[in-house]
Amino acid sequence: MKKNNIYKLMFRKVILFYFFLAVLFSLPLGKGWGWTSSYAQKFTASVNKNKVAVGEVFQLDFTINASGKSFTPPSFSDFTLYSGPNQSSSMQIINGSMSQSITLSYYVAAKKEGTFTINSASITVGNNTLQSNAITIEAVKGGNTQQAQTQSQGGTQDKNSGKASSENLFAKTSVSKSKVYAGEQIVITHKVYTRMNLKGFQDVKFPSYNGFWAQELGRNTQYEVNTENVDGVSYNVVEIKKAFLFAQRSGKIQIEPMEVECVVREKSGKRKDPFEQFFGHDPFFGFDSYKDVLYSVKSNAINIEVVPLPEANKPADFPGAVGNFSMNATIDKDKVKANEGINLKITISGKGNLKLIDAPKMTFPDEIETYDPKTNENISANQSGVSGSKTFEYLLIPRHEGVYTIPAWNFNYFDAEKKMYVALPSKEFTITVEKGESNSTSSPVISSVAKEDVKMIGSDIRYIKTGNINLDKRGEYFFNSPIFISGFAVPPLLFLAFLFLRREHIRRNSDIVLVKKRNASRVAKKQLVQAEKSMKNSDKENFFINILSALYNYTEHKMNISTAEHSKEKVIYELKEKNVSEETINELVKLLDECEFARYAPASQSGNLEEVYSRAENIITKIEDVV
Amino acid sequence: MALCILFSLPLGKGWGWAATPTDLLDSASTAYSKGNFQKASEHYEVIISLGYESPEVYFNLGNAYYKLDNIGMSVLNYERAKKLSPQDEDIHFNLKLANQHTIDKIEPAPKLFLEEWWDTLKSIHSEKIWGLRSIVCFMLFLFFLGVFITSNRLINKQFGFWLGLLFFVFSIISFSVSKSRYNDITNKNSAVILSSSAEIKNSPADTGTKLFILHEGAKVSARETNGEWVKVELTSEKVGWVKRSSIEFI
Repeated sequence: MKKNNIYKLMFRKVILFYFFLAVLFSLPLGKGWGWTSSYAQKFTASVNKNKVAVGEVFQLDFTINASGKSFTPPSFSDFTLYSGPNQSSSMQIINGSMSQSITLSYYVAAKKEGTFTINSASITVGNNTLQSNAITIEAVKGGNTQQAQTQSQGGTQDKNSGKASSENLFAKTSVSKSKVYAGEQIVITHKVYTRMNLKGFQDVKFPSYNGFWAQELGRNTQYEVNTENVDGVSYNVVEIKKAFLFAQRSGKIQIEPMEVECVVREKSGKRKDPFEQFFGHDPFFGFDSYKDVLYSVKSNAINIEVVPLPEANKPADFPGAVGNFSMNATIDKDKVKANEGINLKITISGKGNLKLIDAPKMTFPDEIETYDPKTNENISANQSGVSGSKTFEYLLIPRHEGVYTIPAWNFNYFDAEKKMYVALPSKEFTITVEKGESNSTSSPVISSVAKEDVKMIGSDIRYIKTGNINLDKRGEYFFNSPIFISGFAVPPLLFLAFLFLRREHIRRNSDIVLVKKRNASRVAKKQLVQAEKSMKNSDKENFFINILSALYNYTEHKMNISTAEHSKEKVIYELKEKNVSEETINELVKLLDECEFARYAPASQSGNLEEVYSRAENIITKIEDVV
Repeated sequence: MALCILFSLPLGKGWGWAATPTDLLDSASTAYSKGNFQKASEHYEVIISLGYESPEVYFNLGNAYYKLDNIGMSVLNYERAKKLSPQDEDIHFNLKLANQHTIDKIEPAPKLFLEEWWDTLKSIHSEKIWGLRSIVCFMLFLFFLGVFITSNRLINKQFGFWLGLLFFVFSIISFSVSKSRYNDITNKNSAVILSSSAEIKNSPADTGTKLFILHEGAKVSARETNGEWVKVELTSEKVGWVKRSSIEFI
């Protein structure tokens, strides 16, 4: 009996060992959920499906990772119990530590439609009583259970898109946050959940992450299989992709679903061909054949609300950095010769949207030539997020000697967790520039004030004229106007009239003179006759008056002198003009003087009257000869 | 209701009945300064349609049309202004700018030295000033002719003769210049193309062969008119007939 017991024990151990081996091999693909290495005591309940048809048999497992006693199953009042409890135990050694688990399985079926809860079971481990989780089962109206329906030859792959049960195989996309700031990091995970024998993936279509900058998490070539409990059902979960997203714009952004084709190995029906039974590709477990079936699954779409960064306190030169950063700025030398280059290196390192950070806006002294910065990125992603550094390298070339200062600046970033802007101050750099080698290409140090032409910035017509505008009647021109014509007609007429009148005047005038001239000696003679009478009467006074008037009238008429302007001088002047001899003129003057004198003098002094008479007659004759 | 009509009357009709040309000038320049070029151009057109003209009005109207992007009318009015006031620098400037917007490149025919000299002389004064000058010179000529005739002394006669001759020559030159300018103004011997493009044909008929095409704003010499057609000339080679409706005489 005792011996028997030992054999029994040994047999058990051998079975256990083989089982253990089988588990080790099947681990990556198989039911990895059985062996979570944990020292905590865990008592869990799970079902192989939680959506069943009425009458469909499903498995209910209670697993404990320690040895326990007094197991109390829940009541199965809503279910029909077909078999159980069937106990199985397993052992696992990982990194030298052993864990074991005991599973109690029931096979049950729902009696009617509806949603039922399998209440928790309890077990006592040591002094503790553990409660398992409750499981909700949804029983639907009869119908066939979801089974793979293809019956093709073993080893071939079948496209069977969309026919796998959504309970047995589905994809899920999840994000760490659905409401973020622009530039804030989101973790996105694409997972495939399965309860089938998943062998691999084909043709995975990931979303394009439009509107985001995505940094993928580096992944091993082999997919890792984990176990996850979804609504009490254990699934093998494969994380296909994990990425970090940084929104580049604000608003509502949708991430489209991921599509993946899964290769699932399924047990096909019994073989009919005896040869294949013997020479099938699977000689060890050769009684069943397998086939690979392709299932296409599609994950859910994700909506993300991206909030713009707060405007309050936003620095003017905000470079778009969101995360948590530090800054380091260095220059490679602070003492150079003119025209030599200096490197200013600004390194931003930390966690966040490094790729989206703009170069800081720097103000350099005018005398220093600068170029656009060279940018280097060293960005990597690990489980905790995207981190790395970004370096901006400025090449500065001072052109003239002197001491220059690059003023301190701030690197600003937004801390999404604290929801505030953070400014990282830099230090100030001072550069001493010595005189460099004279370089013909360098600009002259002595600046001359160059005169600049006044540049026309725009060209436009000149403005309208607004001052006094004289409006003329159109078609009225001076030329050809009556005034114009009369301007040419009237003056010549006036001129001609003037000429005519003048000629008339001259002609008339010249007639009178001629008459007078002609009559001059005749008049003079008449008066001389009068004087002769007076002489005979001894009337001395009248005699002289007659002589004088005879002489005056004669010269007046002869010379054409008006009585008004008559004077001795005028007479002398006119006689000289007429070329009368000096002698005659003198005689005339003398006679006139004598006569004037004698006219008022006493009679005794009057002299010889006859002599005066003859002298007057003589002078008149002489003038008459000349003029 | 009656009040409404009373109030609306001055606003509505405005320049319609208070249309003294001076008021129109004021309102036109106000409209122009406010950027209402359409209204300004309408007012200037009214002034011209009332029978008034002045280089300034044509200039301002040209400006308004320029601002309205009506280059053809703009060039026409600048040319009219230039005709009345050939020396005005502003007119030349704006005409040059307007001509930059025209399509056709027209090289002005080279002028002889004498011709240029004559044009310069003409442009110094208006025909009125030249006419007055010619009359004054003629009067002075007559005066010195009188001196020459009436003087008895030799020196006075010589003085009168030469000065008289000088003023006679002056008078003749001034008269000629005045007449020439008068002819320039009154003779419609140049025109501006107003339609966006005008076909120049070899005969005054629709059936004539198409010789060349001119575009809005091109200035041409008009030689003769034959019914609906005007003979125009660009250079001695480019002569043809164009529809009267597509041009406007300056």
